[in-house]
Amino acid sequence: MEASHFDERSFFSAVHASGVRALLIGRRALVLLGLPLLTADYDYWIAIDDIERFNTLAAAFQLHPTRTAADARRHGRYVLENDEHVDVLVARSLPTLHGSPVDFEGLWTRRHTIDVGTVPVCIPSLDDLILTKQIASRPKDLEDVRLLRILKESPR
Amino acid sequence: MIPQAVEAAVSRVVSPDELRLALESTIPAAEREEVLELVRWFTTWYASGEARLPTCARPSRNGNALMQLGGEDSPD
Repeated sequence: MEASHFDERSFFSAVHASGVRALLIGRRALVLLGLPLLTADYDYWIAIDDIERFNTLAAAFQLHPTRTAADARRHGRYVLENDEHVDVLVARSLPTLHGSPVDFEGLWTRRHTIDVGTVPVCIPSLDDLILTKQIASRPKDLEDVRLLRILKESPR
Repeated sequence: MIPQAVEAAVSRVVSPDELRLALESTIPAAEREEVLELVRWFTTWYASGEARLPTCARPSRNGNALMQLGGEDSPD
């Protein structure tokens, strides 16, 4: 495996500068919101039309896609990897375990931004993060749902 | 290397009932307060997104643990 020179803030900056519609989802989004969680991976949900631009910016960080853009569109997801691992959802819509559709466009419209240094990072709203956790619906996702519910229901 | 049984347990898809419970069950006040105390501690010591992200960037033993209040990640 080729070693990357991954600098997270530079990566976020490149994502922002590229104009790619990219939402940081998964536990890093929860950490930005103030939940002290541990995670090894990055998780993004990007617009299906922006795969090529996302891959181009990722290439500058020695992150390589596991599928071609066309193949990623068919499968709805792919991975950018090196010694970092970035899971990328590209589907226009994915169902929750209960079968409710979660649409990227809706998430994007309702997105929030959080500054990391001077770089705005886009994340879904709290309600939408709870929805994204219902797509994979693994035990750890349910734990995250409870944490998000507590955040949502707490006076801020 | 994660044993297959452990991998299967953490990667399984929960049942609809488990999901419904996570979404709808009443969260006990003690659990709520414990989480909010952690959030207060975390956002006080790591006041910005820039400060928070580096704290999460390592593998967890079980992949789902909250940091321990005052544990090894505490700046104290």
